[in-house]
Amino acid sequence: MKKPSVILAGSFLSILVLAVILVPVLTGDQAYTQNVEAILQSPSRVHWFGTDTLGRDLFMRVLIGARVSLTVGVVCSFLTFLIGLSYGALAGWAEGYVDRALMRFCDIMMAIPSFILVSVLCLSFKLLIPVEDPFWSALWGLCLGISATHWMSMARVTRGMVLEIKRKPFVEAAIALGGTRTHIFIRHILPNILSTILVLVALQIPTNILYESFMSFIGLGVHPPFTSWGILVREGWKTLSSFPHLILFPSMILFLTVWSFHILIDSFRR
Amino acid sequence: MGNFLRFLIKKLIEILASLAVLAALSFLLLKVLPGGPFDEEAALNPLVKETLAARWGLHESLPTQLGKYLLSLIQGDLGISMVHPDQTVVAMIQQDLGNTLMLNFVALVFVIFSAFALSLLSLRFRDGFFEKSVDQLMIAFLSLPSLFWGPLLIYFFGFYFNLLPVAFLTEPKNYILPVLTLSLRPLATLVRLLKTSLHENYNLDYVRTAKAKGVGEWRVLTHHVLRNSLIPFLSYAGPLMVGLLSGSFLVEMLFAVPGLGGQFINALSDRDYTLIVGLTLFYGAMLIVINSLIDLVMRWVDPRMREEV
Repeated sequence: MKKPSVILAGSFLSILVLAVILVPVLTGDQAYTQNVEAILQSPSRVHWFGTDTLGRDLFMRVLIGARVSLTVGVVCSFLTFLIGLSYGALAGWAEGYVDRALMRFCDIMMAIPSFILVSVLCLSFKLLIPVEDPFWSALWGLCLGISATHWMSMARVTRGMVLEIKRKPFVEAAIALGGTRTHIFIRHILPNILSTILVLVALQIPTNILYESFMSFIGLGVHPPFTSWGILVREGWKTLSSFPHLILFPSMILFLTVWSFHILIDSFRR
Repeated sequence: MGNFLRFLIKKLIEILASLAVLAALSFLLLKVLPGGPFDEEAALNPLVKETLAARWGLHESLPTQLGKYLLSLIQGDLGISMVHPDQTVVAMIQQDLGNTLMLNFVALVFVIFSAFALSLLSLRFRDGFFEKSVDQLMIAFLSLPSLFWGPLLIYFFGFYFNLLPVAFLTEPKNYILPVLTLSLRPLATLVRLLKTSLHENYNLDYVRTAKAKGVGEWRVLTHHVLRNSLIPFLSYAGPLMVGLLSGSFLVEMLFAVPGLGGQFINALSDRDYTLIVGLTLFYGAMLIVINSLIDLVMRWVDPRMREEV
């Protein structure tokens, strides 16, 4: 028995992903084509979401912007998974002083509001990464900045489970048989903790998408002419009082995406 | 009492160590970031540049510089703003701290009261329409980005119906929209957490006993179940405050609140490194102290925690 909200969320996400991949390929470069004669139009049959201050079709721009937003969401989740897993596994496996020092550092990181951490790191990575192209350096800055600040809860969970599992008889047996640490971790411990960790990884995706939009909104993410949902919201924010559709459509799609992820993850958990 | 003293000393050392790590990290960040304070003046005479560098001790070894930096931190000196050289970072923080604290405090009170009300009510009317709608609503709140919700509120209440002010924090009614924008996501997290812990406690034996004695449903909830659910709530209080403060950056920007959040975002776009690092340290220190205080309160509330030191 599936709930209607789950069906709604699932179909929204799949249509979104399909549209993001296919529609811009089929219709060409509409997201960047400026049209002075059609600026700031309200939603109509030709322009579903209306047009922006330069006469670009907002619907197409939302789809193009989704490419950056969704990529950041998925890539950051994967990076977070790698960092959190290895950090937590190291702490849990080492125990003693190493463990305490590592976890203490984890606590310090968790005590700083993540908004500060993400923005400071996005700025630093963006400036430090030796990539010339402004689009790629911004994208890398976003990915590294977001994932360097969201691995803590994953590390904690991993550490707890590694501590628990490494005392189990089958791990002892593997050690007695001469298994190396990496072998034991990958073949014996990882399969046991993967299902819990994967839920955390999935939960990370909507958070990353939100952070991408926050960062682009305050000017630390990608920059125009490139676009992402954060950039669209930023552009719409300037004309909120007279042309609210410019901010409400992109941010509503952002909300629906994050909501769909939450609904789906919630239904998988049960 | 010796136990308690040991705990206090241990906590104090922990706080100091955390602050030192935080300070060292932020110092390194300051050093690693490209662009020194005097790079802007391209036409600067090399001799002048040299004198400036000597004046600010930029020739000394990194450890010496770090030592001096930590020493000035202990004296409560966060340096001078790079963009506004006539102002110290401490003065800038003092000036705007009030608004941020006030906004976050109001939001915190609102979140705690409505979270307890909602979770108690949904336990009282469990499996009914009320609980189901609270569940759905909380998922929606959880995914409500302030970038969508804030502009939506501003547009409808500020411009369309023209009911509420949408900027600054001058009067009490100015707080309504920013607090609503800020608190829905933390509220959803807290309600979900409280509901789980209330449900767990509700199924325990002492509740059955209380009911068998003839205690009424509401009294069981408020006097028996609620008290025991306060521990998970307390342990979430730290992350709750981190979440609120984190969210208040964008909210302050959206509602033009003259607070630390707006200041931080401005500092980011101005590349005012000393101010950025100063604010990072300030927030970190504040939350490390708050978290330790919460630990103390938990020890006081729950005798079981006093055993494990």
